[in-house]
Amino acid sequence: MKVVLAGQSRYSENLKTALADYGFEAISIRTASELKALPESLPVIILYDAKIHPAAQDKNAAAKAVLGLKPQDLVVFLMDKTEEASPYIENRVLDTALYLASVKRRVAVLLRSTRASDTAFDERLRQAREKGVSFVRYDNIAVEAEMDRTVINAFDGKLSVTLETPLCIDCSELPDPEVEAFIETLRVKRFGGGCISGTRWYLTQGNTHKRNVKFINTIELDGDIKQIVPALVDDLRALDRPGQEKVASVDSKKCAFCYTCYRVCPHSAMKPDENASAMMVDEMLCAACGICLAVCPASAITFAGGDKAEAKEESRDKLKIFCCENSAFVASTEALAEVDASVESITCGGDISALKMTEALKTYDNVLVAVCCDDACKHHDGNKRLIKQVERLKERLEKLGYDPKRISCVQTGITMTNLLRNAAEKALSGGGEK
Amino acid sequence: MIIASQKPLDEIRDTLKAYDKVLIAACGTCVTVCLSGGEKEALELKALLGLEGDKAYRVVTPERQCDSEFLEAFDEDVKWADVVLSLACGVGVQYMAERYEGKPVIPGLNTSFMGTNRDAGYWTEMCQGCGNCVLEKTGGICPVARCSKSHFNGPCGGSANGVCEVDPSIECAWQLIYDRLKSLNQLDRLYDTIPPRDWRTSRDGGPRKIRRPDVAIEEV
Ligand code: SF4
Repeated sequence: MKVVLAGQSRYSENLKTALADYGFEAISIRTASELKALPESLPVIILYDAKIHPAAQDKNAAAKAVLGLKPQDLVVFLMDKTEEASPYIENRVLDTALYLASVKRRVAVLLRSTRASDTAFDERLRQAREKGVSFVRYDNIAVEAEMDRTVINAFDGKLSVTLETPLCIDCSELPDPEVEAFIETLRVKRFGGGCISGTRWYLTQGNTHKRNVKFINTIELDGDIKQIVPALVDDLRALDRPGQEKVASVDSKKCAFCYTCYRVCPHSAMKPDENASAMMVDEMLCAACGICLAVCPASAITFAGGDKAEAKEESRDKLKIFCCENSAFVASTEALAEVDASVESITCGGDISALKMTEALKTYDNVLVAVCCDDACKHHDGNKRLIKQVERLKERLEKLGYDPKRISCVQTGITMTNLLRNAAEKALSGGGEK
Repeated sequence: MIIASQKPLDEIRDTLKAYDKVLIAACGTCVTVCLSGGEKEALELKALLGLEGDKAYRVVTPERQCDSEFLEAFDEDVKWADVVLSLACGVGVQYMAERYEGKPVIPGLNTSFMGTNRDAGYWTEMCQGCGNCVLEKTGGICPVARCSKSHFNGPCGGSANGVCEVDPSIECAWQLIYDRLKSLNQLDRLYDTIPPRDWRTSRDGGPRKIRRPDVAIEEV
């Protein structure tokens, strides 16, 4: 199998050899135009050696950076200025800040107040605080660099503090133009579900929203590229799917070529066919989330392969629950054991169209759709799509004089069994809310 | 492309009140692409309207309702129905009505404008079909369709910070024209006054026709 290694990294050669041991032939390329010239469906590994502010690199570097400062001078680590810092940078900053405090320097770390809390991180914050590091949370910040000092004004929504420092260690990373060009060429753009989001792509490791594009920020490897190879090889091998798995399939005769699926597919799996007369699915990339099925205005998309024929239920039942396989369906065994409802597993909330819900209303008194929590969707906000579908359908039901409460949705996780049970019970009694 | 949006459902339901057999006719071209009247919308309507009551519904999707050749295949379905709910643009609705004598044809959409799909779920008006295009003078931005007041020689006093006084979500067409001409190095074009127009090429001359005798089979 051939793979493309994109980018210039000090690890490229090592990775090439390591992959060769597993029988992969790696082609190194350096520019986006070289990438464009290659066949589209090759797996691509983007290698990127991210850089961090030299003073936050390690103790020695920090010691050097503070050499000329007076004892009363404040050293400021500025984090999350543009995007939330990666765990790697967080750790580096905390280590260096801790070190500087232990050698009796005055140190402040500025963090954005929206940062998600994480126990390990909080524990380190506590340690650093005990050693004398001050932490300032902010919502808005103004940084003004003057000749020999930087003035920072941080505002947390209520209070504002002004700090003056001769050494402001700005820990935001700037995107690398070359890597950005790869990202652009590969149409790897935004993914809120934990992989690539906005401009933050250069901080995150591993998968992107395209199954054939991997992103490796070598900053976190500490010189050992081999540690990532086995997992990488597994992922690459999994790309070779001999047509058994469930994938979307476009009926080219029905396709109106509207590009809606192309625009909304979270995995960039849609592409125009050879004649540019209809859309087609890149089966290697399709994750069978069903979002395209739900949006296609021509009903041209269906699932092919691996699709289980569903038993048609004749009797009119009380409640139908569509459960996302990544969250609610796992929780449903326990949560819904006692609930009188027909439960169906779905790949993603995005797969549930208004049509599907309305059709279910013909057989069932009420319909509940249970999807993942806000940032947990594997398919780039398929959960939020569903919520919007439900809102629109409720309005439409109301317009026709039907009870909008017959449709509801809930956001849950694998372990949130009570939440799911409550939502089901509410829906069962015809009182679905959201 | 023609952009349309669906009529409110209660309005649709009320217009169908008197009929038992409803043919919902989607249209496979513009209104499919702008997500308002394609097969999926038709099926969704059928499901919603059919949730209660005992009306019979059928869905058909001609490629275009504005060409007779595409309609032929559905003559039998139309015969079956008491009423046709057309999800085409106004052209399709009228063409159906003309073709099927004695059959009520009801619009399911409000036909809105000629425009473009800027992003998934977002359409904007671009052209008003005025019959005498001036885009070469205005850097490719239409002052008729995109200026709220269809001004031909610069903005009005309601243009501020690039947006229109009619609605701040409307970009001022004359700001766009200025920016575009500047980028083309053609700002001097703004010195040429565009004279008052003869609007007979637009709607003001009555319903318009175009004939191509070289293509026509018989002289008309
Ligand atoms: S959404 Fe449907 S009609 Fe539009 S391009 Fe995709 S397959 Fe074709």
